[in-house]
Order: sequence, then C-alpha cells, then structure tokens
Amino acid sequence: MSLQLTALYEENDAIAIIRIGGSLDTNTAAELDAKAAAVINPDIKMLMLDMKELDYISSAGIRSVFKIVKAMKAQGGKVGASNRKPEIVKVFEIIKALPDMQIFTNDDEMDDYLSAVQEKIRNGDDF
Amino acid sequence: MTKRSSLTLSQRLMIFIGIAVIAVTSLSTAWNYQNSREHIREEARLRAADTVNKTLNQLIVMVGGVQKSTNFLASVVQNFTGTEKELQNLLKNTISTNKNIYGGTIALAIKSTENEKGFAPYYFRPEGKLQYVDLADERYHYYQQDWFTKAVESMQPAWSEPYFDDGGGNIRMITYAVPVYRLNADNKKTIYAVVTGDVSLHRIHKLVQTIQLGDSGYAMLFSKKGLLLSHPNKSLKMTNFLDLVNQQDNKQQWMAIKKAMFSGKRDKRDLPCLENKNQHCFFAYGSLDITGWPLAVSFPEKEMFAELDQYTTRFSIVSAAVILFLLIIIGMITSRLTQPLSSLSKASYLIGQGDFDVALPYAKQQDEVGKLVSAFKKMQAALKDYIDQLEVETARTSRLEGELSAAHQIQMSMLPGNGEIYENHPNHQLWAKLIPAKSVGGDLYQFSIEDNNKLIFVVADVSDKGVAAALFMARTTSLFKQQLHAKLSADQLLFSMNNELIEGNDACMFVTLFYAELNLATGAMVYVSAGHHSPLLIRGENVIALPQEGGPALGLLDDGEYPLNHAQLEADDKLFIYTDGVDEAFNTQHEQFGLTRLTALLQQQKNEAIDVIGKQCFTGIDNFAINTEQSDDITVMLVHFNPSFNFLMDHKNIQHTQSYALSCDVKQLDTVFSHLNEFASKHQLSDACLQNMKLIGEEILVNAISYSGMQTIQTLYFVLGLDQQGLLMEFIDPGKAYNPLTDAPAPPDEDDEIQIGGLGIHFVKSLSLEQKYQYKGQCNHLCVLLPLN
Repeated sequence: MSLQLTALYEENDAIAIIRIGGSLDTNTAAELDAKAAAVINPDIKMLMLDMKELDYISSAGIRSVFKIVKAMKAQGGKVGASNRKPEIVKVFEIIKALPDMQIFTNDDEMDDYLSAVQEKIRNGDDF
Repeated sequence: MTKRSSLTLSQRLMIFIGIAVIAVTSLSTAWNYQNSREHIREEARLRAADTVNKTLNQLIVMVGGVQKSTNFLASVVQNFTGTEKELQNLLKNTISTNKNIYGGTIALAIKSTENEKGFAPYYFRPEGKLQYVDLADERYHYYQQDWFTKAVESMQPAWSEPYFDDGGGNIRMITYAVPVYRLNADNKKTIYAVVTGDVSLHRIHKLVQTIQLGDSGYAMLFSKKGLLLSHPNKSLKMTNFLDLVNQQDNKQQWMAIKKAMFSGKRDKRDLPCLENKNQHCFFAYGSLDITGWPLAVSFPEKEMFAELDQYTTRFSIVSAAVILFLLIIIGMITSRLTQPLSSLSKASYLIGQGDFDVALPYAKQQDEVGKLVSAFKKMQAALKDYIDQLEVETARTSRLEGELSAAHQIQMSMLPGNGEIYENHPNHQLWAKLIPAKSVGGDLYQFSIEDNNKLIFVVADVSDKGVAAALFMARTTSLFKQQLHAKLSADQLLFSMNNELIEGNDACMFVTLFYAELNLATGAMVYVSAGHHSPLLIRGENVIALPQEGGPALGLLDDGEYPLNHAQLEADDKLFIYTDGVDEAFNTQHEQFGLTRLTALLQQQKNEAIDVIGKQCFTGIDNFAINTEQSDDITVMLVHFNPSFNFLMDHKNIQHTQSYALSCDVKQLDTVFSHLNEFASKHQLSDACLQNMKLIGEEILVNAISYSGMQTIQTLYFVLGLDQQGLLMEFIDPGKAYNPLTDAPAPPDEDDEIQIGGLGIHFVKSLSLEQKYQYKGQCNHLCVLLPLN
C-alpha cells in the first residue's frame, strides 16, 4: 500500500490543492508532511485536501492532517477536505475532535466553494 | 652427594702419572740404595778387617823381628864365653843390623860381672844414628829398672808396658826382655843376664797411623794393659781404654768388646762412634799375637755411605728432574689433546644455546679426539638441518593450524549463532549447540521460521569427520538453504536433496538428517528422517522416542523415498534432536554413553529450561568421557513448543487460527497489511472488517514497535482466529510490560499535540467489541475481538 500525492495551485497561487490517494498510515504520513511543507507558503489562503482516492487512514494520517490545519491556521488560511470515503469519515468521526476544516462531500460542493473563494480573493474581500 | 672433582683431565693425568712415576722411582731408588748400602757395608767391613790384618802383619814383622833378634841374642849370650868387650860388639852388631830395633842392651847380672857397677852397654838409634850409652852407671841403676827386675822375676821373656826410658833411650818405648840363665856350680839355674830389644813407640805409632780409612777413620793400638799406644790424636796417647769408653752410654757393650779384644779375638761391630755417639761407626779389632796388643779401627758409617748417599742424592735430583720433565711433557701432550675437547665443550654449550654456526676446533690428527671433533661436526650439521627442517615443519603445521582455525570459524559461521544459539520466542524456544571432534566436523543444524508460523529445524550428521566431512557438511548446508527457498514439502525436499547430493559423490559420503516443520500456532508437526535416529520427546513426566518411518541417508540411493511423519505437539512439549556423537561418546572403559544414560539425564532435567537441559547434556557427556578424546562431532538441538496465545487458546471453538511473526520494524507494516488482506479474502471478510483489522493492527503493532524498547532483531507475533462472536486478534511482543488499555494517555482534544499511541488505542477501543491484556512469559499479550459485520 502506498500513498499518492499530487499538488496544484489555482488563482494566483492563493489556493492549493493536494490530492491524496492510497494509504495514509504510519509509514506514509511523513510523505504528506513533506508535501504539505513544500506546498504551503504565506500566499496560500486556502489548502484543499482532496481525499477522493484515499483508501485508508490511521492515527498517524489523522495527525498529519491536524498538523496541516494547524500550520494553515497560523498564517490565517483555511483547510478543506473533500471526497472522503465512508471508511475515512468513520475514522475521523471516531476521534470526535474534528479538525477545523471545511468538509465537502463531493467535487461539485468543492468547486462551488472554491469559485466563491476565488471571487472573494479577486475582490480583495475576506472569506 | 659427592662433589665432583673440578680438576681438568690434564691436571688429573699429571697428578696420576706423576704419583706413579715418583712411586716407581722412589721404590727402585730405595731398593737400589738399600742393596748398595749392604754391599758397601760389606765391602767396608772387609776392607777394615783387611786393614787390621795387614797392619797386624806389619806389626808382627816389626815387633816379631825385634823379638826374634832379641831371643837369638839371648841364646848367644847364654853360651857366650868371650870377653865383655866381645859381648858388647855382638850387641852392637845385632842392633845395627836390625833396623826395627830402636835400641838394645845385654845387661849382666851383678854377680855375673866383675865390674862392680855391672855391665849393661846400650846401643840405640835416636834419629836413625846408632849411639852408645852405658847403662851401668850410678844414676840409672839398670838392675833396678822394671824391665830388668820383671824379667828376672818372671824368668820368662816378656814385652814390657810402654814407658819412658829415662837415661837410656830417652823416648817412649816398649822393651822385650829375655832373661838368660846359666847353671852354677851347684848345677842350679841362676840369672846371668837380661837381653833386651826396644821398639820405639813412635815407630809403632807411625806404622799404625799409616792406616787410612776414609777421611776420619782411624786406628788405635793398645798395650796389653789397655794403654793407648797409638791414636791419631796424640793427646790421647797412653790413655787407658777404660777412660776412653767411660763416658759412653753403651759402656757395657764396650766392656764386652774390651774383654774380647784383650783376649786376642778378632771381630767387627757397628756401634755409636767413640768420638760422637750420635753417629754410628764401624768398629773392627784384632790383636798382635806375640804381644797381645789389641789393634782397633773405627770408621764412621756416614763416611762409609757418603759416596752412596752422594750418589743417591744425585740420582734423586736427576730423577726429580726427569719426573718434572715428564710431567711437563705430559701436561703439554694432554693439553694439546684436550685443547680441542675444551673448545668442543664451549662449542657444545653455544650449540645448546641455539648457535649452530659456532666454529669447531681444528683437529688435524685422526686420533680419538679428531674423530670426536669430526663426529661433532657431523652432529652440528645434522642438528642444524634438523632444526631448519623443524622450523619448516613448524611453519607448515602452524599454517595448517591457522587454516584449520579459519575453516573452523567459517564452518561455525554457517551455523546459526556460530555453533551455539538460544532463541526465545513467545511461542517457542530453541537451543542448539555443535562441538566438532576436530577443528572442523560433519554435523550441522539449521532452523528457520517460514510463513511466520512455521518453524523448520534440521539436524544432520555427515559420515566420517574432519575436513572431508566438513566440506560435505558445507555442501549439504547450502543445498538445504537453497532447497528451502523452493517451498517444497518435507518429503520432496529430502528427495531433491538426496538426488543432488548423489551427484558427483564418488567418495560415497552420506548424511543422516532429521527435518521437521512445526506449526507454531497449532503444534502440528510434520517430519522426515533420512537415516537419522528418532528425536526424544519430553512430554510431562515421560521421555519417549518420537515414532518415525525413515528413508535412506542422503547421498546414497537414487530416488530415495522419505515418508512423511505427523505428530501433534502439546503445550510445553520439548523435543530433543541429536547426532550419534551424544550416545556414542566413549569413556575410558570404552563404554558408550548410550540411550539409557541420555534418557535418564533428560528425565532428571525435564523441568528445566531447554538451554539448561542442553548444557547439562554436554556436561554429562564431558564427565562421562573424561580423559578421552572426543570421538565424534556432537550436536544437540532442543525445541520447546510453548504456545502462549492465551486469549485465543481460551476460545474453545476458535477456527482458522493463523499466526504471524514480524521483526521489530515499522517497515513491516505493509507485510502486516498484506497478511490481513490475505486472511480477509481467504475467509471472505467484509471490507469494513478488513479496514478495522488494518487500523487495529497498525495502531497496536506500531505502538509496540515504537515504545516497547525492543531491538530490531526481536520478533513480534500476531495471531488471527475466527469464532462465532467475531474475529480474534492477539498481539504478542517481548517488550517491556505495558498495558495500553489502562496506561495510554486520554484521547486528544482538538488543540492538543496529538500522541499517536493515545490516539491509536482510542481507535482500538472504538473499533473492537472486547479488549484484554495480560503480561505472561515475559511477553505482552493484547487480544481484541472485532465484529465481523
């Protein structure tokens, strides 16, 4: 089992998307940590974690997600998670202390939200 | 212990030969001296006696001549009828013709002459010239003189004692007086005249003193009354014999001699010298018959032997010189002879110190020493060769030993634990030890855990021992490891190994081998034997041989068949696998250790841990075979089936139990996931269930690996099983005691720094129906029950 990560930027680099696939476990969590550290910069207002292909997450993976949320909050950004499979949702639910992030159940929800965010960024508004 | 003489051979030779030569020379000199002494003594005696006799004869001639002449004159006077003048002429003629007569007279008795003064003409020759004196004068009174009166009285002719003839001859003399008688008118014999002949004592003395005996020998003439008439010492003249000997210690002896001397005997004696009693003198004597005067000669023995002594001294000096010369020669010869010996001695000491190039003395003579030197030379060369050879041999031996030692290490490194190993696992322990009889041997053992819950173990014994066996052992070992990868069944594995080993095995080496596969979860054991004896099984109170049906030893028969044997091990069973070096160990009485002793030993040790049992077994063999050389390689392997899946074991109806072994490394996580995937698909478990299994598996194992303090080489286990209630997962780790159910931190809040362990156990508790923890057998046991749907 391995972890697949791809990252892309949108809207003048204010928005970043990391696509996480495979298994986010003890052995692979460090890869996400590294990717996030590489992706996150002060210009980013919004970091979206697309978990469409993520099959498995353990406490180590949860911890990585928490670390990303913490890092983004520190620079006034936000984190979103989308397309979580039921088994992933269940793991998040078990810990009952959900990270402070926007949850999107599918791509449409995420796209709508991202479009709104882009609009606000273009207008220079807070979001 | 007697102290050895430190004299050299040369000194000893000199001493021994010197003593011998001195002894022989001294003896011969002494003998010669004694003989010569006797001879000389006899010679001297004869000479002295002869001298005495000769002198006596000369005296007889002289004195006897005087006596005869006087007697003749007396006989003429007796019948003389002439005048007194004619008588005087007769006297004058007689005296003048007889040189020995100093003087003489015809003294007529007073009555026989008409002259009132008597008639006594006296002719004598003082200083050789005949002179006349008339004794018939008033002053002399010849008829009153002793010579006259004694002759008249005795009526016999006689010699007088020495006297000084005062008024007559006026010298010391002795007188022979012959009374002449005539018949008177009454026809009666009456004295007519006394005729005398005088002999000068000086003349006698001169005659006697002609006797010359050596330097200090001398002659003595005594008168009949014992007065000394002649002696070289003039002052002693007229001394009495008694006065001479009076001071001598041996006076009695001298008195006896005097008696003999004065009774006219001739003899010779050895006596202390008269003039020096500390010396011995040779003393010879005789006496003048006609006068009865003893003549004696005295001759000091010292002088008599002076020449002999001188000769002996000279001879002794020459002998001493000869002996000294001889000793010097001996010394030179022996030192020349022993010089090489002494050098040899030094050389041999140096050779003893390891200097084989030391120069040996040169001996040009082929005598005993020369032969010794040449023998020594040969010995030196031989020793050098020998040492060189020995060095080469030693180097070769030590190289061989080094090679064997390296071979030993290499061979031991082929064995797990380099020849002795103890493995402690949660569900089993394994102990094994191999001791080769020589540096290298033909025994081997191997084990391996395959498929996580299958313990494979092998013990084998190659025929013979030593290097050949070791090479075959190495071949067998690598072949076994190679075959193990092929995942063959036990019988196939041995079949394949057998055929491989036969190939190229012209030496017909073979190996007996015991192979077993033990399911660590269930205790089911499959085993095959290739000519190897049955292992012993320690079960409860019993030690029994594991029943088996075996095949031929490997390497002998093509396509050998190796039937599978099956056994079910129970918890706490101990299996004892060994090679024949154990039961065939010999003691000094050539008895075998044997199966009986081995079984008894195991019976005694059955409750001990297997490493203790194994070590006791080796100790037992050592004690049994003490003072004997190890005859064969010895290998012992003990396997303790000790399943400790307590929770799973509690579930009586559990099925499909599967156990897995892991090394202590989080990288094993993928392996765990694939095991779980496999198990889930095999038993058609739901994805959700698999997801839960993975999550629980990861959280518990990562927790144990990261925080239990275990080493990477240690092994963790997890066992899966199914029963009606759900899926049972038991995790066993040999780390420090830690109950995550109670000791884990509380689940984190949103803002807390998140602990994996704390979060993880929260997942475990959330996802499982039941959790149990126990620390047992130095392992943590954590068991969870998961719902299947």
